[in-house]
Amino acid sequence: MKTNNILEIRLEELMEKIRAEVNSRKAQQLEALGAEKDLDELAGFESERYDSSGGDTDARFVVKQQYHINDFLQYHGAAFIKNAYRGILGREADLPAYIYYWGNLKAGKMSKIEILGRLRFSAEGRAKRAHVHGLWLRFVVHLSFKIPILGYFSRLAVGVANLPTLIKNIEVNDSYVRSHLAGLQAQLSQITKSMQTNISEIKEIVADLQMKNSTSAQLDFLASNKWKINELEQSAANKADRIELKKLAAVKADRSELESFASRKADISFVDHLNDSKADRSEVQDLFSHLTDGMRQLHDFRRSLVDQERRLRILLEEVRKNVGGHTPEILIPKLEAERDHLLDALYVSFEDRFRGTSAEIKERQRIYIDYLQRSKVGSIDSPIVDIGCGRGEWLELCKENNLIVSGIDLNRSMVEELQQMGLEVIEEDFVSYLRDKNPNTFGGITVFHLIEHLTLENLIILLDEALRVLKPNGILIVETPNPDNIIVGSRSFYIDPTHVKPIPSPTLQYLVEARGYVNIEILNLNPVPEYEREEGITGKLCELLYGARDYSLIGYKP
Amino acid sequence: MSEETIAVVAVSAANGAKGGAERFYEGLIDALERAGAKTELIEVTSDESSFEAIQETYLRCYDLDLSHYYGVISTKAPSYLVRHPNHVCYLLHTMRSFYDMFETEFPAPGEVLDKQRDMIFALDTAALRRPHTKKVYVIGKEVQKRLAHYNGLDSEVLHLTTTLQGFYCGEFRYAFLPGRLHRWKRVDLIIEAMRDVKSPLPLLISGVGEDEAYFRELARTDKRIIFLGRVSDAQLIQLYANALVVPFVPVREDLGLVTLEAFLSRKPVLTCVDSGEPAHFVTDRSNGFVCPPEPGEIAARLDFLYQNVDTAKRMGECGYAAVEHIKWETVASTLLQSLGR
Repeated sequence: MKTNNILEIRLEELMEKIRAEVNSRKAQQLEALGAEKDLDELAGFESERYDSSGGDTDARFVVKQQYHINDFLQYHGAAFIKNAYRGILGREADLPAYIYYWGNLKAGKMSKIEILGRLRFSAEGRAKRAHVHGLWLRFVVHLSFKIPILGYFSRLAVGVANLPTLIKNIEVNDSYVRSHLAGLQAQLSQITKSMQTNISEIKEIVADLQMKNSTSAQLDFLASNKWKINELEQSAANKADRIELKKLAAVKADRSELESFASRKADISFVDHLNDSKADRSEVQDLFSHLTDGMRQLHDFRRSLVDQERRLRILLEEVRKNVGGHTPEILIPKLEAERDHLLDALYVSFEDRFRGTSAEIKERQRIYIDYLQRSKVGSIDSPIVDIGCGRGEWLELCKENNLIVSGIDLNRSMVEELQQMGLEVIEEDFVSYLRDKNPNTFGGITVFHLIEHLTLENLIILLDEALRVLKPNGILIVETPNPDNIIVGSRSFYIDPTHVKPIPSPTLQYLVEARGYVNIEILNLNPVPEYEREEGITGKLCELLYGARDYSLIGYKP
Repeated sequence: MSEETIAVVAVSAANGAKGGAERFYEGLIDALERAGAKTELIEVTSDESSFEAIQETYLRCYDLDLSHYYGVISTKAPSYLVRHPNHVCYLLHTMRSFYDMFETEFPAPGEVLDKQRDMIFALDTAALRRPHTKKVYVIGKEVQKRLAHYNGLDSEVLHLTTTLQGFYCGEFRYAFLPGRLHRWKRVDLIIEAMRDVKSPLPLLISGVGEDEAYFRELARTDKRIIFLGRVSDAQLIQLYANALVVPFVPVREDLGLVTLEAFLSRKPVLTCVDSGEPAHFVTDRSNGFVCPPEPGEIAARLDFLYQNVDTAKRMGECGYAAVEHIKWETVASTLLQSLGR
């Protein structure tokens, strides 16, 4: 506890020391700004600080009982007003009065005598009874100047009487101004001289810099990074020796070579494989790819094994139920149906590998949410059905957007995965599924990457059945690979061995219109991103190579 | 009412520069409020343009009257100077130009600077220990190490995470480097590494910063390097999503949310042994690479990933597993607990 306190005191000490430093700095700054600062700040008359040349002298003004009028007249501008207030009224000038007198004094509307008189013979001044020798008479005379007609004669009389004094004053003034001018001239020549030396210094620096620039251009070859150059430049400036510089750079290069050599040597395990020996590197790469391939295969095997086991169990159960009484013939259709699912697990793995990740597909499908919301479908009384829902990205996306959706798919592995995720999915053929539904059941039907798996006959059945079960103004969305892109049409399309044949968008549009849909719209989607394109390929060729890789058709039931 | 309130003291730069710290305050306040604590953000303007200005900033923090708050959480230098009996610090960092960056920033310091440095050390050390501060939490191992090394102080690491949401994993197409374009981030090291990269691997660089012109000039001849400038949050997430790898090689970075964001996007991170916190997050050859800060070393690894996308995928998954558990909720509950709430 005791040590703790000591530490706290130490912090306090340190901070108080800083406070003292900061305060003294601030005080100095304030002083430098001049004593007029407060009033100026209040009045916002920043520029007038420079008019009030009495700024320094007014600090010397002494408040006393008796004054001679010259005690005040020696000050000018703002300082005069401030000192007049201090001397006669014993207080600082209030802001409005300050601005009023200062303005009149500057404009020549009031003389200093008049201001002093007004202050002294105001109610406040009379109460204070400050004695200003020589003020009364002059004030009365000054006031008399302001009387019409008579004022003119008064000014004339005073003028004539003051003439000798005025002449003397002018002479004094003249010599004062001359001496001041001489001083200013001396200062000016001094400033000019120092500026000239500055200029020649700057010239030298510029020349120096130019020389350094040319050397640094050479250095660029030697030292590959900025800070190393700086270091070298510094040592170059110190020694001013180009040969030395080159030697240094060479040593540097040698050293970095040595260092990298040493570090390579040091890391024998992995970096060796990567860097030194090409053969080793490819060996490591091969190992990596074998390993990952192996892991994928393992995963796939596991999936299909689980699937086979389950199917076998179902069949065994069937066999057990049918032992005795029944002929084996009735098992045949069941066996056949199971055979259709043999490749399901394979296809899931296939999609994982080629279709793109779920997150990305979801991202691409986001555009359709807008269409559905505009058609006002997806409520309880106008639900959406997704034919061939696959891995269910679209179902998830609909659910996230509070749209009522269900899905059908023939792939049992996928269906079961989706059901486990809590999505409403059934394993059924779309033909029987749609035929069982009443007319005007659905608000929307979506079909993503399915029609390329269908024969023409089945595609027509799909379009007709969909039209029947859609409500009036219901929406149909069909997405499929776009053979307008020649890479898709000639190769990518066939990567999926279950694809039948590509369907160009005019073909699909014609079929859909012919079966009775209206307001058909085609969206070209998913072009090759900019940075994956080869440079210099433009126009039609660019379109063919890098254009939309999928398209979708959107149509409505009339 | 305000007796229940907790004050978070933030320090904002006088020149208006914004960065990771602003996101940090946002995340912290949000997490504290979600944990049910009434919170107010007290902002102190920090001028680091001269030592005199720094002194005044220290004094401003010291003189803050926060006595009517229940507790105080200070953050970066010098907010921890604040005087309050119930004060914990969640330290972002001290003034780095006096600490680990001193030699870099002032190659020839001299007596005056040395004295100033001692002053800052003494102030920070005294302010960051009991009884002035009840407990010091730090954002990562790097800051913890530094605090132990320079100030001889113990602290506890409390990891925080990004405030951005919606990271996903798309394709594996390019190397992506987001963040402030500053020499401390060593973007030039990656640009130089690209000279040795043989694959047609694009390098996308997003963000702006004081050394942008220098980096652009350095990359001028390499058509694979693309500067994207400032990008929106949504674009940032998309850029992460389709990256093959995120090469992030700063000098002794305190935190580097880039690492976390890359891992949340399931991407491998390539960093260097002297990169600070990222080197603590990345485990070499498990969820990325930790290599010497040499262009050739970096290039070899970029080429490797380009040819082995499956490895990149696997590494990205491991990265995700490494950061998945880091949550702002933990930060909030730990801080509130140490304030006695």
